[in-house]
Amino acid sequence: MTARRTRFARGGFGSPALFWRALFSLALVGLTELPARAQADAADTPVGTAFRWLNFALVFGALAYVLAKYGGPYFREQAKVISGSIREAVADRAAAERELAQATERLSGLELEIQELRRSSARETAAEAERIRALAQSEVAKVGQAGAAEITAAERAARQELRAIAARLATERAAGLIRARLNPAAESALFDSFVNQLAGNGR
Amino acid sequence: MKIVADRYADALADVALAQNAASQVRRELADFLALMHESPELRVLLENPAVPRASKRGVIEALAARLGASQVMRNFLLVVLDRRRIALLAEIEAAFAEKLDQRQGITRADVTTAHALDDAERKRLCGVLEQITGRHVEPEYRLDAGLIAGAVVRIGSTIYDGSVRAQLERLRAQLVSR
Repeated sequence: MTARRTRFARGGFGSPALFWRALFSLALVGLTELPARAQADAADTPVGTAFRWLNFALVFGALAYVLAKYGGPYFREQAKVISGSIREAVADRAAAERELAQATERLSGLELEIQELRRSSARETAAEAERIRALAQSEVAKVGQAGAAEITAAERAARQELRAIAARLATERAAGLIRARLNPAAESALFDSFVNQLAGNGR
Repeated sequence: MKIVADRYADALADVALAQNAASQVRRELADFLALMHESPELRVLLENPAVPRASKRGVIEALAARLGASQVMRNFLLVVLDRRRIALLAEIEAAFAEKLDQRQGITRADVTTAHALDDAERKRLCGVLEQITGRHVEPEYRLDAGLIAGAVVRIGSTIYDGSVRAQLERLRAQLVSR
């Protein structure tokens, strides 16, 4: 392949592909030109028929050559691309299936977790309710005790106040009576009593 | 300030008792204080440091002459003025009365009664009070109808309450606390 390339390069062609393309073009020109010149007079001759077949063979060969040279690699490349895409799709599918399995697993675990959370929440709610009930009972008891104490204190204060009022009224009444019945003799007697008491203290 | 007033009162008591003029000095001092109490201008004049001392002395001498104050009182007021203790004169007067009573063995007694006492009652009460205190008692009598009957005697910080009002008050307290 390398030798052929070198020879073609010495002959003036850049590459074998270029040489074959030039040759192919000349053949096409010749083959199309010859039947046209011979058409007028020799189209129906055996030579004309042979040339027609030769022309067909050349066109068919050229097409086959082009298809064989350029079609194969193209289709191989396309097949490679498609097979790569298929492999990637397979890998993606496997990854997606793995993720699906993980998600399904998580979902199943989530369901268990939700159930556990529900049970825990129910337990906590029951405990909280019990605590609140106990607290409320305690508060009720405290309020009751405080109310009873307050009532007792108010009762005591009312009694004390009533007693004070009664005592004040009694002493005021007594003072009025004493003033009404007081006479000089009684005043002197009270003064003497005070002086005697003082004298008793002095002894 | 009580210590300062006591010092001046002691000195005045020494002089007044030495000259046997305790009652007179006591009365003159009370008169001068009453004059200061009645005349805020006089008090301001005597206590104002901006007024020259000679002017104050002139005022005091004029007042002493008008009140007929003794030489002892006149000199005492001038000394107090020179020492700038005029503002303490009321305290000095109270301390002086107390010192005189102490030195003369006199005890003051406030006697409050609902009715006026006759001489026999007063004499008897004084005798009992002197028996209690062991000193000569000089009572000051007051009337208060609110006592209803009986009497209240105060000697210093001691109170002897024999009034009907106090007895009723004790009765009221007993009724309340029962």
